Amino acid sequence: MLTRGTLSYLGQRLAFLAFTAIAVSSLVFLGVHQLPGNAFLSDRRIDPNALAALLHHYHLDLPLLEQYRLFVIGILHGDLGESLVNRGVKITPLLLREATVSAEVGAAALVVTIGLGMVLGVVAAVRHNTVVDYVATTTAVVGFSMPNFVIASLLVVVFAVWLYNTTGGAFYYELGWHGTHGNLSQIPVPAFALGFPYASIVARLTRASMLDVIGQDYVRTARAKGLPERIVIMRHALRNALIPVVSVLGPLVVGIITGSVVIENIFGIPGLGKEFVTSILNRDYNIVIGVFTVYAVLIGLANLLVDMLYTAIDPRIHY
Amino acid sequence: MATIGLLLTGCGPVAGSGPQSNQLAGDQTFRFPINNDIGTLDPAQLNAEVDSEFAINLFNGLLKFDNRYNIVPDIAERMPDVSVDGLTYTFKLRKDVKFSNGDPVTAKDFMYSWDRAAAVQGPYGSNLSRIVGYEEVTARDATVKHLSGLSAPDDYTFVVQLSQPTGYFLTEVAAYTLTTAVVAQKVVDKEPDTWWTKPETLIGTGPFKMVARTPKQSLDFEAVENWWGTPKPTLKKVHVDVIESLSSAIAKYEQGGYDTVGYGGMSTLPAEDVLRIQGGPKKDELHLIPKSRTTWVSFNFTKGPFRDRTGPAKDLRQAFNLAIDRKKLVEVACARGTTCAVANGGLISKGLKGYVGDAKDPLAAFDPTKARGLLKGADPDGSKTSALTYWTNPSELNKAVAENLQSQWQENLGVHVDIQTVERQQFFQRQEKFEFILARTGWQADYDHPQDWFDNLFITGAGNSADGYSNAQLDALVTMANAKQLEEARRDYEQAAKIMIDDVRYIPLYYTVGQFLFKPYLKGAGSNNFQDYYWNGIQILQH
Amino acid sequence: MVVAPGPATPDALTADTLVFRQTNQWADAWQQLKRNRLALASTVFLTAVTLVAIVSVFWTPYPVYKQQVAGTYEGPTVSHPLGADQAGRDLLSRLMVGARISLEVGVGTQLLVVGFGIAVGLVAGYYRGWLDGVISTLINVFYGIPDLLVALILVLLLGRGLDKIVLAIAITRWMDMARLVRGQTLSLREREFVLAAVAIGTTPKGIILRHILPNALGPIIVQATFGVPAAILFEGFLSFLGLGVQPPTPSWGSMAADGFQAIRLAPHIVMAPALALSLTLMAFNFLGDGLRDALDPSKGAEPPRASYGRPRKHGTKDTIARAGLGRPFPRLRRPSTTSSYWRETSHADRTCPGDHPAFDPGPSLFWGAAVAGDWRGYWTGLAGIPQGRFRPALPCAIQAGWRSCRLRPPARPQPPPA
Repeated sequence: MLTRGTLSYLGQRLAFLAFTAIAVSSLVFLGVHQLPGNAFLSDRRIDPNALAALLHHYHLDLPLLEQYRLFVIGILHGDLGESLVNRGVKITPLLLREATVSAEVGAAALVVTIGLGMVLGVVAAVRHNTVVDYVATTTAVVGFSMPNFVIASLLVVVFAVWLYNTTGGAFYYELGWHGTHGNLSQIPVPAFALGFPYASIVARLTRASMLDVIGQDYVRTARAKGLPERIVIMRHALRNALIPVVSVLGPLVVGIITGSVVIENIFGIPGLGKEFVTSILNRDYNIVIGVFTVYAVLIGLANLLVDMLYTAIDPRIHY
Repeated sequence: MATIGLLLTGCGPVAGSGPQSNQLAGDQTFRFPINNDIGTLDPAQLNAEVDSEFAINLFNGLLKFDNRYNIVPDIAERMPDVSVDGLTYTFKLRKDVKFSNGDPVTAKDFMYSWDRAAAVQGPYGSNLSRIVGYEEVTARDATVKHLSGLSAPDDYTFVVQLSQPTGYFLTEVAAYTLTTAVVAQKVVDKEPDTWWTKPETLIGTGPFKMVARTPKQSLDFEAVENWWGTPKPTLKKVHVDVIESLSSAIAKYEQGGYDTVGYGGMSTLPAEDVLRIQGGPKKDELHLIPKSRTTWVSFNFTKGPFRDRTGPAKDLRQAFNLAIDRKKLVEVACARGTTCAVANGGLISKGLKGYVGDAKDPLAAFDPTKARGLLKGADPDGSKTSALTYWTNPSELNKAVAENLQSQWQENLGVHVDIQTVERQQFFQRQEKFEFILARTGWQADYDHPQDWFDNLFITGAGNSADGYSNAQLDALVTMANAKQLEEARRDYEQAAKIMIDDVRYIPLYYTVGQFLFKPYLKGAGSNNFQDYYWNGIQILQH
Repeated sequence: MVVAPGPATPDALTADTLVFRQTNQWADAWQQLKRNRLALASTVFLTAVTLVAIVSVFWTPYPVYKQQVAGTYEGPTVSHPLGADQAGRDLLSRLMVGARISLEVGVGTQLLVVGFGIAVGLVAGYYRGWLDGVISTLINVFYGIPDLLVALILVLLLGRGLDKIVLAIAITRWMDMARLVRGQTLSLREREFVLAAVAIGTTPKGIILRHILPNALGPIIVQATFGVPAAILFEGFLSFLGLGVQPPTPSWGSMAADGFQAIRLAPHIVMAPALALSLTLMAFNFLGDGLRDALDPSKGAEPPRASYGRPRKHGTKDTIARAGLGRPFPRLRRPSTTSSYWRETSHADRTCPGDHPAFDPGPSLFWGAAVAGDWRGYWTGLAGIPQGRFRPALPCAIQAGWRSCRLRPPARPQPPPA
C-alpha cells in the first residue's frame, strides 16, 4: 500500500500544507496590520514613552515589509513570536500545549460522533420504519438543531450542578482542566457536548448507506447462508457503510474545531478554541496569527489523514 | 508544620458565618480562579489590576496600603521624615529585609529599582515624575540612567528629592501599582525582560514566591520560609486557574473546587449568578464591596449641540441629565443593584477621598418634567438633538447600560439616540478626534487621592479625558491643591468638583460594586476598594 | 388510466394496457413529499413561523425594545406568557421579532449562496479547463479555512449589522453549493440531450440555462433547505462570541447567547428561543430530508412501509416485498396478480425513449431502482447482462422531461410453421 505513488502524493500534500500555512499566516499578518488600533490601547491612555517602548520591543515600529521579513524568518524556525498582552509568553510552546489539550478533547469528541452516530444510524436502518427508527433519527436531529452552547450549558447544569447536589459531592463532573492532559473524568462531558451535534450527520449517512447496503445481494447471500443477523450486519454490511462516513470526516473535523471554541469556553478547558476567542477579545494579534496558522495546519493534516484513510478502506482508490 | 489550634472567642472569620470549628485545616492551599492571565509581574511594568493583585504578595516597597487602606510602613521602619519645604523625604529602612533567595535588601537596591522603573517607562512610571532628574532619565535618547534626586547616604537610609512640593507623593509611593517596589539587581540585570517569567528568577521580598506557571492556564505560589514581615503567612500554597467563563468558575466554586471567587481583580461576576446566589441558601457567601470605579457619560465640548459651557447647551446637558432615572438604570443594567450602585455623590467613587457625599450631587437627580421643559427651551424644534449618537464599547454591562439609557431618553425626553459600539482599541483614538457627541466614560482610581482623578481626567488637556472641557478656574484650583497635603487640599478639591457640577460637565451613572464569594471556612480574606486583602493574612479553617 | 385487472399472460396485454399518466419530475416529487408525513408537518410548522414573522412587523404584544415592561428575569405569568428577559423586555414579543430576524438571516444567506454558488458552479462545470481549475482551487482554499475564521475576519472588517452578517455567513457557505452544482453540471453536460442541443447549435448560455440548470435544481433545492438551519445556527454562534446582530435587535441565536448565563436563575430566557430555534431547525431538516427523498435518487429512498412486514431475519420474502411495490403511482390500481406479473416481465418488454446502454441515470428519478435500492442491478440489466437469478423487474427509467414509459406490445405469437 505504501507505494511510490502514495509517497509522492503524500509529499505533494505536505508541501501544499506548508505552503498553505505560510499563506494563511501571511494573509492574517497583513490583515491584522490593517486593523485600526493596537493591543496596547485600553480605557486609560498610555504614556507616549511607554507606548514607544512597547512598540519597539515588539518590532512594531519597523516598516511593514521589515516586520514581515522578521515574521517569515520566525515562522520558518517555528517561532511565532511573543504575546502582546501577556509579556514574556512565547507563542509556539503555548499553542502547541493548547493544541494537545484540544486534540484530546477533539479526539474524544470524534469517537463520540462516529460511535454514537453509527450506532444510531445502524439501529435506525436495521429497525427501519419502526418507532426505534423515528426515535433514533429524531434524537440525532435534535442535536443538530440546537446551538451547541445551549446543549453545553444544559450538560453543565445537569452534570456539574445537579449531579453534585444530588449525590452530595460523591459523583460529579469536575469543571476545568488539570495540568496538560487533564483528568480522565474531565473529558467525557465536554467531548459529548462537542461531538453530539455532528452525530446526526453521521447517523443520517450511516442510515442511508446501510439501507442501501442491506438490499444488496451479498447481504442476501449471507443471510441465505444462515449467518446470524448480527454477523450479517456488523461484518458484511457495516464495512461498506463506512465509506460515506469517511468521506464526511474532513468537514467533521473542521466542525469539531469550530465547535471547540464554544465548548472550551463553557467547560473551562485551556485549549486552542479558548485561546482563539481570548486573543481576539484582547486584540492580541500575535496570538491571532499563530492560532490561524495552527488551525490551517491542523485542518490540512486532518484532510490529509482522511484521504489516506480512504485508500486504506477502499482498495479501489489509490494515488 | 503542625496544625495550630486556635481558641477564639467571639470573633468569627471575616467571610461567612460560623464554620464548624476554629481549627486550621491540614491543607492550607488557597485556590481561586481568574479569567484573564496576568500580563506581567514586573513591578515596573504593571498595568492591569490582576497583575497588581498578585504582585502585592510577591514584592514590597517602602510603604504600603494595609487592608483598611491606611498608608503604613512596609520595608521602611517608620513613616518618612519630610523636610519643611516639602521637597525632601528621608526613609529609614528595616535591617532584616531579605529577598526570597536570601540576599539582604539595602538602600542601593531601592535606588536601582526606582532608576529602572523610571528608565523602563512602564504604564505607571509617571508615579515617579516629581522626582528630580526624572526628565533627564525619560528623555527620548537618554543616556542618564540615574535619577539625580535619589541618594543613599548609607545602607539603610534612602533620600528622595522632589522638584515640587507634592501632597500625594506618599500615596504614589504606597500605591499598589508597585512602581516603587524593590527588585533584585542580580536577576534583573541578567534578563531584563524575562526575569519574572521563571520561578527561579522571580525574586522578590514578598511572603510568597511563584513556583510554577503554565501560561494562560494556571499559576502556583508557595509561602516563603522565614519571611521577615508580619503577619507570617499561614497559607502554604496558592493555586490559581485561568478560566474564561466566570459562570463555570462559580459552578466550580459551588462544587468545592475553589475557595473564593473575585480575588485577582475578577470581581465582576455575572449578574445572573449573583442574583441566583442572593436568592439561594448560600447568600452569606456573597459579599458586595464597592470598588474604586465610576462610570459616567461625557459630552463633546468642542462641537455639537453640547458645545458651550454656558447657555442653551448647558440647559440641554441638564435636560439629558434629569431625564435619567438612575435607580431604574441600576435596577436593570446592574442586576437589581448588585453589580453597581447609583452615582449620586460626585464622580469620585464612594469610599474614596474626594467623595462629595451620599445623594449630594444635584446632577444625579431625576425630574423628567423639568427635563422636557429645558429641552423645549434649548432646542424648540428638535434640530439639535436629531442625530445624536452614544458611544460605548461592546461589553455586556455597557451594552445593557446603553440600551437602558437609550430607552429612557426616548421615553422621558422623546429624543432618539443611536448606540454605536466602538472597539476598545479605537475608542480613545477616535474620541481624541472629537467624533463623538455622547460617550461612555469610566475611570478606576489608581490610588486613593483626588489628584489621581483631577490630573488624569478633569483639568484642561488631561491625559485620559477627551471631552474638550476647559475651565481655567478649575485648573488653578487643582494645581494649588496638588501642592498641599491632603487635609488642607480637601477644600480645594471640593470646590473644583462643585465647579464641574455647576457647568453640568457630565452625566453621572454608577459606581462599580465588586461581588465576591468567600467560603465560610476562609478567615482573613476580603477586599477593599482597591485591592484584595493580602494573602499572608488568610487562613483556611477546618471544613 | 387504469390497469385492467386481467390474466397475467403477456399475450393478453395490449399496448395501452399499462400506461402511466403524463407527469413530470416536480409533480411526482410533490406527490411523494405529500406522502411524507414528517415533511408535511414541517412545512405546516414553517408556514406558521413565517406567518408569525410577518405579523411581528406590524404588531407585537409589547414594544420590543422597551425595557422594564416586566421585572427583570421574571418568569412566565399571565400577562407575559413567556416571561421577561434580563432587561425586563417581554420575551414573547422578542421571540416574534426574533423569528423574523432569524428567518431573514437563514433565507437571505441561502439566497445569496444559491445565486453565487449556481453561477460559479455552472461556469466551472460547463467550461472546464483553466476556469474550472481556478474555481476549484478557490473552493478548496475556502474549504481549508474554518468558517469561523472567515466570518470573524469579515465581521471585523465589515462591521456589524444584519446585512453584513448575512453577507459574511454567505461567504462561508457558498462552496458547498458551488461544488454541488459543478458536479451536477459535469455529469449533465455529457447527456444526450445536451449533446443534441449542441449539435443543433444552441448557445452555451442557452444550454446552461435551459437544459442543465433545470435538471440540477433538485439537489440545489435540497441543499438550500439544509443550509438554512446551518446559517441560523452559525449566526447564533457568532452572537455567542459577540459578533452577531447589534443589540437590541433580537434574533433567536443572540437571545439564546445573551441568556445562557441565566440558565440557572431564569431558564426560560434561554429555553424559549432555544426551543423555538430547535423546532424550526428540525422542521427545516425534516423538510430537507423529505425533499431529498422526493427529488434525489442516489441517496436511496426508503423501502416501503412496514405494512409489508417487518424485515425478517432470513428469507427472500422481504426482498420481494421491497421490490417495486412500495411506490404506487397515483391512480394505479394494481391487479392482485401484479407481483407475479412484475416478476415475470423483464425489462426487454418495456421501452423508454432515449434508452441507451450506457445510460446515465443522472438526477432523474427512477422509481423502481430507488425502491429496490438496487440501481446497480438495474444498470447491469440495461447493459444486457443476462439476469439469471431473480431480479425484481423495474419500471423504466424516466428521462429528463419525464416522459411516460410505454409497454412495448409483446411479440405476437408466431403462427406455427406450416
